[in-house]
Amino acid sequence: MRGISLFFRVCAIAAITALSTLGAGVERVVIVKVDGLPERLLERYTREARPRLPNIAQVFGREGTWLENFYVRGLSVSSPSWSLLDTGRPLQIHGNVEYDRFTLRPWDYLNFFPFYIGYAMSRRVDMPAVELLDQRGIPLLIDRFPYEQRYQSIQLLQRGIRWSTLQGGLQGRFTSRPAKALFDEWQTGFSMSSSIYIAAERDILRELQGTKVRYLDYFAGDYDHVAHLVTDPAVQLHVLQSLDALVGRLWRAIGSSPMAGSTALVLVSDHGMNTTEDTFSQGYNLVDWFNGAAGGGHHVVTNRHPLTEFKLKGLDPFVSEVVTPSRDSFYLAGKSAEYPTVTLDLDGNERASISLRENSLNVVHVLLDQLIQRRFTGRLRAAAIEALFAQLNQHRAAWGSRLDRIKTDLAALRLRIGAQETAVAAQPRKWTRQQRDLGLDKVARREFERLERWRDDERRDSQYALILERLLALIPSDFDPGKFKAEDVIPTKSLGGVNSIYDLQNYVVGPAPGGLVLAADGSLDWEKSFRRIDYFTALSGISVRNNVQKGVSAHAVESVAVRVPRQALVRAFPEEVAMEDGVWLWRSAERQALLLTRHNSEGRLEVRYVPAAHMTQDAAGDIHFERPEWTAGFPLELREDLKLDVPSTEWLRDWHGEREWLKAVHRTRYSNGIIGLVEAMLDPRLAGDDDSAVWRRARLRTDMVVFAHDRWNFNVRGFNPGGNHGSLLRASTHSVLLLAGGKDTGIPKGFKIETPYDSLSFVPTILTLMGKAEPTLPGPVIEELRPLSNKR
Amino acid sequence: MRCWLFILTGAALAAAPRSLPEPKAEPRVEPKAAEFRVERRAVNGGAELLTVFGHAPDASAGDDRLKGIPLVSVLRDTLGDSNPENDRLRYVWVLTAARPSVLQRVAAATPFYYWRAGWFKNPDRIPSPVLDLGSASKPVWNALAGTIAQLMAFDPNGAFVRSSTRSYRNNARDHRQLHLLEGLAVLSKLEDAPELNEHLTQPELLAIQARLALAGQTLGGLVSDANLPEAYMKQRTRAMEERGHNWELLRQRAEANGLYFESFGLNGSQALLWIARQDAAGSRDFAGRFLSMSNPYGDPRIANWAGYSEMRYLEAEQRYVELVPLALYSLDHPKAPLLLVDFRDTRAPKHREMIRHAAVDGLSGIVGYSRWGNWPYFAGTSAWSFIRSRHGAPNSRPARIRAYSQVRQWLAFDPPLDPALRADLRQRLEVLGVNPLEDNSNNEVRFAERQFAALERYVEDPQGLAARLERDRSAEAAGYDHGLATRAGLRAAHYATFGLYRHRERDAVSLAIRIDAARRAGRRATSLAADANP
Repeated sequence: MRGISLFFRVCAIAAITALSTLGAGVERVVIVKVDGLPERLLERYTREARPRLPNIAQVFGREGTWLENFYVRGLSVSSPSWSLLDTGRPLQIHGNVEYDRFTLRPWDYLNFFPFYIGYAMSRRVDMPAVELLDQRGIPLLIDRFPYEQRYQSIQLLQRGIRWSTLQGGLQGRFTSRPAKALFDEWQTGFSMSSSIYIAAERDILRELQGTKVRYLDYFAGDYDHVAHLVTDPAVQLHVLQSLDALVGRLWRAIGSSPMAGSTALVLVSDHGMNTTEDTFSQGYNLVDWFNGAAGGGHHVVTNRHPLTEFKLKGLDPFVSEVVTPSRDSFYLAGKSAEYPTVTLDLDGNERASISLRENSLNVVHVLLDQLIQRRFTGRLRAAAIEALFAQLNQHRAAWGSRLDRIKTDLAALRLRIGAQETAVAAQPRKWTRQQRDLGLDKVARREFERLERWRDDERRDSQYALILERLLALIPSDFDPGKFKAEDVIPTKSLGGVNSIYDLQNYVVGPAPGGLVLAADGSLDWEKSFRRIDYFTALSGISVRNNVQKGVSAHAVESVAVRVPRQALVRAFPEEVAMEDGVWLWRSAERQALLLTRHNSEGRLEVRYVPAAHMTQDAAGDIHFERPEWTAGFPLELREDLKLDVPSTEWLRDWHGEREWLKAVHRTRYSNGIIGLVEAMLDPRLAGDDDSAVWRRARLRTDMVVFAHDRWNFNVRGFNPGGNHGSLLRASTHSVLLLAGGKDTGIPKGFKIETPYDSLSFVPTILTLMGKAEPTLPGPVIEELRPLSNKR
Repeated sequence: MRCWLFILTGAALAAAPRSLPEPKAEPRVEPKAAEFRVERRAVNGGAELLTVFGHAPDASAGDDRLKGIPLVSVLRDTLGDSNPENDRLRYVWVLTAARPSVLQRVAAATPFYYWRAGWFKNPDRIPSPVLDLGSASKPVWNALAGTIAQLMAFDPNGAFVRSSTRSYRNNARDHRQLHLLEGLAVLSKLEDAPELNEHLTQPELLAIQARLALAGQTLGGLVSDANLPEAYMKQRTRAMEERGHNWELLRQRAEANGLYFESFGLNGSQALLWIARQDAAGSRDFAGRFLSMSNPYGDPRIANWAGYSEMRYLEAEQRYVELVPLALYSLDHPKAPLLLVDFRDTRAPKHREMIRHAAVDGLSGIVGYSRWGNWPYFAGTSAWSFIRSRHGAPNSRPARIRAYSQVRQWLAFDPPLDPALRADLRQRLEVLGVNPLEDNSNNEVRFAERQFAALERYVEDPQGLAARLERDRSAEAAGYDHGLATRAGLRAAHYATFGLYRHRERDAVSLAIRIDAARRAGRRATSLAADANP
């Protein structure tokens, strides 16, 4: 009897153990992050009779789950894309570099060097993108794991540096291999990045043999780098084969690890790559265009030197702000250091985010400059002064309110700085090994870095506020243009507020060729006194004579997107209720579209596409446009796309939720572009957002995003003939998400998911698989994986 | 000689037909891949000779060249069986390269002599291989020995000896480099023709290409066989990067300067810049950086142009224009395209090349400065070179030779270029040659056939290639069975007895068995090492 009882007890313990093992789910995740990897190439090389990527075919094709339709949301550019994948939150980072409109402080998300040096000097601890997300209170996926449970390789959204990886990479390069291998590599060409990758892999393989670390990631940037430069499929395949070999080694290591059953291996990419072997991607230099008379004769700010490789200055790895002066400036010649009037973020290269100086500030500046330089007399002088103050008075309220806002923020910032100085001073100077292992030294350093940034913000904002205050203090009765310089009253290195559509259609780039002109009534003739540019027409009119490849347009610019404020849309669409900001997409005067947005009663975003033509905005802010028949050739080419999956064309005219849009359009030429545009151009209000947060985000807003035609790019720092991304084309937005796991993870084997998802689903899905579901995350969990994880 | 060259060139230019084509609205026909074939021939002793033939695009009916021009031969040692696992590639002959004559060698040793000297050449002599794939390191040791001899024996003997020996060595090195690259260019064309893989497999092709590319580097011959695939991919990646980069750079510079850009196929490595004669009449700003030519706008040479030109209809501009060629560039060059032909000043690129050579020959040959013996000179030239290359200057002599070699290959074999333009370009390119050891490209094609005939005789001769193959196998087996010291001793014995003693490893059968086993084991080890490497 005792024997039977013992037998049952043993059985019960065994059953409980088995059940607990079965329900273990994903307890450890290894994420291979591949920059720019397009899904179509993996598909091509894994579905052959003899796959040229055998490990990926085996691990994810036969033993894992393959998402066939996974897309980047927003712009297909690395920093924004990885930020979405790493946070699972709406887009906070809109480019690879962003500039504060008032102070031109750059947020250069790609530049590693200042970060490394700052880290070595104990002044920095995170990459700029992470700093920005921290500032906005948005955690990364990695933040869900205690410090000692995570291993992060070197990447764009990086918290801290593992010197051991760098050191291991360098040492391993020179000491861990036979001298002959080193010699051979010297002869065939050294690659320092590969040593870092090897060291990171070695670290991960080591950590996999333990059970402490539960989050590991490996960032691979080689494919993106090579595909930008080379169209040759053999070269691109060679890089993919290295990745494939890595997947094989990781999978084998996971299989032999103590947590084999509960470890998931994930392969994810941030965007696709528009590359084909038979066509070079052609570059168009927007810096030159904006420098030239046709573009307005602007002094242009970029984050890197144009043609970096041909300049000694291009060797400076710390540069984040380069001004390319214009020789054709109409009123700011020789003032490039003080008055750059355009900022460009050209990375990714199939799109350019462009900010122009506030148009009304240009008018003030031109008038002031004319009064100072020309020393008019008589009626023209009086008319010019009258016009100057009319312009000032027109904007006095808005600029005064901006000044008040900055001053209020400055006051609060100074208080925070004081408190932060006390907190930083109270921090220990030395850290024990145990404290370091818990990352406490980095927490402290983060506070120091925050203090430094606040001090910098305070200095820049104070300077801006001081000059704006002087401008607003000008009064006609005490105005003598001979008494001051423009720099005293026009903020230097500042763009000011965002331009409206009206501003961009009537942008003042200087005085008219004949100078200021009087109207018949003796006032200043506003029409004839200024040289203006309609940037929509001008940009789409750019064409080249050397159109040397078949199937490539002679026009570099395909479309221009700008934000349309809610107020203007409400007046234009009185029948609609609860509308929010929208997007205007220009392709030509006759082919335009308005993307209207609203949130339904459940709080879900809905979008409506309205074809438009000849849209203009008047000075009062009202928009006027025609409602043409929806034919072929409108932006995003939805109606004519044979891969559009809708019940009828009438469907296109209605409001639809973003999941519905995604299902309908994801296979089309522009894929999920409609959702991407809304994500990239509009600021979603986040839970817990206050006015201050919205204001801070608006300071980084650009005026417009310009998209290149297929096979065109805007890279200026060098040449990217191999391929590019950044556009809304499916080739650029179609990315990769593949999962495989041990027997307890619940990840299906040999499973293909056709339902489309975007990068907002990545974090919630990983967290759900790991039993850490966060219902507040806005993206849907990948349904096909959810039931299995819910069984736990 | 120079006088003759001027006269000949002048006469040739004057005789160059000015084309008067009808205006054509159709775009130019895209060049198709050049046609190549591989011929296999058995060699006594268990080997085979693989010869690549190319078809000259301008060969006419009845022309011998229609049958194909023998370009490159490769010897594959098969040990007499059909198992590819124990095969080994040995010699590579570039058949367009005949051995220099005595007079050529004398000219090559003459300091500051930068003209061709192809006199009294005998292309019927058995050609010497440009590379032994079975002993790739040998040229490295020879070159090192040569450098040591130069530094220790020749340099101290005054400016005359120093400058003439240095001139000769530089010319000989450039000559070898040119033909290595010509061989490489031919073999790389085979990649585009997978139907030829039955003769040369992809791994073999890849190994030959990697070896040919590495042979151009001072120590490249010492790279292990196991690393050849990686070396090949790196070299290919670099080449593709350069080509795409320069294609874009030149297209953008053409656009910025109002010129017309034309490359020859996506995989083409050359590009022409044209100007519309109507446009050239006016004046405009010209940013000549990267273009290495003077402002063509307002240039009377364009206004009075009597050379080759084309009438074209430009769709985008909706106008007929007469396009005048301005310059031919090689896109396979680091950092920036290399100007090879300046149509307005044919001799300008040559003069630049001569100045570069003269600077080197003057400083190292006459003054006696050596980069390795004079540190301030080393530092100064390195800094200057770095700054100049940073600005896109064509500093690298091997890279210039490579560009030159490729353009010659392109003109010789790539269809379809307008015959008049091809003839004009060839004529202008001939002027560019600065190496006395080099031959006129027209002669090279003729020599190739005679060189191949000589090689065939060598194959048929029982004391020829078959005997050499046996000696090579014996040496190979000695490498497997004996250490370095023993091999050095055996070789010393050979030289000490004036060749009477020659070490032989076993009889032919056991030798083949031993080599067969060693080659298979080596192949397996290489394969395993490749799999294990991260």
